[in-house]
Amino acid sequence: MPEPTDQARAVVVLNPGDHARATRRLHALPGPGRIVVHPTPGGSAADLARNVLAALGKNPDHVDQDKLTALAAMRHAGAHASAAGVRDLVVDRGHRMPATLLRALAELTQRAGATLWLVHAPDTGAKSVVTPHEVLTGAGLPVTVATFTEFTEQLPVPTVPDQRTNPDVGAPWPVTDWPELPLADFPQFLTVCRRRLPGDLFQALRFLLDQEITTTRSWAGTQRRRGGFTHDRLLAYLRDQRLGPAPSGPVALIRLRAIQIALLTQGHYLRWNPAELGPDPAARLTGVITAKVGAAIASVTDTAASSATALALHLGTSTHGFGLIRLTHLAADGSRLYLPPPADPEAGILAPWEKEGPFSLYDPPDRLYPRDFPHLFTPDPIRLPEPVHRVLAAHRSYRQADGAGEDDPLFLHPTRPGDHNPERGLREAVLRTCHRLHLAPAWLHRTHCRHGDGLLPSHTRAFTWMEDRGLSHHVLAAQRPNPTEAP
Amino acid sequence: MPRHFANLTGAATLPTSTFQLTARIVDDLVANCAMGVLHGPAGTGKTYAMESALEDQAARNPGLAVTLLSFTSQPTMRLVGDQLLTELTGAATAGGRNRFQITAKLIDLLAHPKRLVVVDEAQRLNSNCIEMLRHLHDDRKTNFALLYVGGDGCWEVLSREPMLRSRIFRRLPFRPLGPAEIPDLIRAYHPIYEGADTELLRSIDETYGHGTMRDWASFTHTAAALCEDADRTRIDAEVVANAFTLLGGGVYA
Repeated sequence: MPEPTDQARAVVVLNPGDHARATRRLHALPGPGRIVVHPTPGGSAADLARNVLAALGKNPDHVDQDKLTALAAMRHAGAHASAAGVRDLVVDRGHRMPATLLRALAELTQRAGATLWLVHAPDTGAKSVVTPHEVLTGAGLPVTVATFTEFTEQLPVPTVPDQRTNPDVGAPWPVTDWPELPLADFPQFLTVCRRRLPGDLFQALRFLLDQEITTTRSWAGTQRRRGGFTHDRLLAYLRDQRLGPAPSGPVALIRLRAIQIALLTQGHYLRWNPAELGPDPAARLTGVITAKVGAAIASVTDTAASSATALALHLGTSTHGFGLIRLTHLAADGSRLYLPPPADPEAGILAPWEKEGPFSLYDPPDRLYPRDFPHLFTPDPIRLPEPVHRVLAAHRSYRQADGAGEDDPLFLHPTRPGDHNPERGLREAVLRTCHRLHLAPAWLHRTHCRHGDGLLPSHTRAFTWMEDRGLSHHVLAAQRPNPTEAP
Repeated sequence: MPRHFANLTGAATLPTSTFQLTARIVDDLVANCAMGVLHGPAGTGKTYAMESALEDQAARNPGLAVTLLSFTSQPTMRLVGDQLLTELTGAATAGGRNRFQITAKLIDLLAHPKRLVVVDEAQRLNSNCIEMLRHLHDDRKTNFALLYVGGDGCWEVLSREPMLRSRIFRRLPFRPLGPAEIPDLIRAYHPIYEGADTELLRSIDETYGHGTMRDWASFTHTAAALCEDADRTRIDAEVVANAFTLLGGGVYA
């Protein structure tokens, strides 16, 4: 059982006569930081876990598809609730719950660090009614009792946020509403656009292009002050900040052309070959994790499967090296991942599943080299897409609730935790999740194919994010002949 | 027009106050997607009034879907869910589904179109079954009115559930017809009673009818057959005596 947190507590809300007004009120309560659970009548602990997951926006069918036990499903629910910042967990029909379900709710509340509001009708006369106060107190939760009026005062109906607010009001053109743009290379891009686009649309494009050039020059200036930028830093810049989060293909194309212009003046040629990218090459420039894909990943119940899928899709690799990620490498809010490269690249590191034992002289553990995992050991923290922050935070929270420390691995082998490399199992989980979400990244093909097998620990796979988008980076300045030297 | 008990032909619908109120109550339940109860002793015309109200609804409200449920004695929550799912989908329910999946499927199916679910013989439901129907009815996504119809003990069963007290929107108890109402109503019930003597009708009610429409339908069925055999258009003391003989009095009637 997890340690009770300071915030975790339970309030038994009395609803005399099992009045319908309580149900009506509860229907209006869901909002930010608050979920309302209507348990399935006569349901088991697994059904209660499904109810909680459904209230959290997760797909409850995954409990059966992943063959999760009631306990595991409830733990995943607790992690998701914690990552989603759920502060109030409102549960209806507390008087019809047996003690086992009340104890499961108490554990969930402790994992989420939330307040459990248990709506309880004390005068139903049913023989099966247990006293929730005793059960919840026995489970380690401080319990208070509130009347229904007090409940409505302490938990008012949330105000509906104004959905009409447009974050792009400052831009001269809605950034998601671009037509298909010409594919002319960056030296002619602006000229061709001026010729083909209507005046106001061209002005909007020019605005974005100039803005992007300024941003990239600023970034390049910062990198120059740090000693110049490498291929890894450019990849991270494109993937995590500029092209990956672009809301649409045309916006990504404008950003790319601006970055190409800005980098050329810095002595770098970013080449884009759209010839093999299909009928809409600009759409291929953006990241895989859009808001829609992020929401689909967030609906997955198993936190390990969803977070491994999010990482694999963002990095554009298979699960190669995911077993090396420790809790300390992932930010608590799931926004960044940082595996610092070791000072001595040749020293090698010990994988979390390898143990230095007394027989290590005869059977020494395999050492791994960060150069084999360039997609993970990056000079700067990897910025993860905003739609999956909570997904990763949920898995971190899940591992912490299981007692994992900061130096413990983020992903575990499902049956031999701590002893075996979890990557193969994770890859299957990612494949399964991608199949459910109707995503088919080529680098996750199960059988060997012309796109390559994601299991191969080859160096080339580290750079597929750019290759998959037809991008290649060439340093011009180092090859440029020095005009002061005699021929 | 609904079918009379024992397929009695030629009988008219008696415009009793409960019969007329039933139509109004079904109207109100459908309009508000609310919960209601029709209850009373067997044979007092609940089912006939409910069927007539449903026919009326079908004529005036063609978009309304109606689902009729009737359970064997002591149904379980699972049986209620399975039977409701079968009625809604028209196919036998697939096995292997857990309670959560069945409930979720039912909520989806009850979301559209607007529906009236009628549970006949509601006195057979236990607390868990009533809780399940309440759960479905309370869900925000569902869009249906729920009408419990039950005989002896129905209201006693339903009123034991505190949750229903604040949820029952309309309740209509049915009672046997009083002796004062009998002569006028029965004369309009069937052609064989036209102009019948008041005392004769009261004696039939005292001996056999007891104010319940099911018994009156049974008597009328027998008496009409005897009238036809004797080539008579209306009942008289001899036809009544012969009917009593056939209806349980035997040769000693």
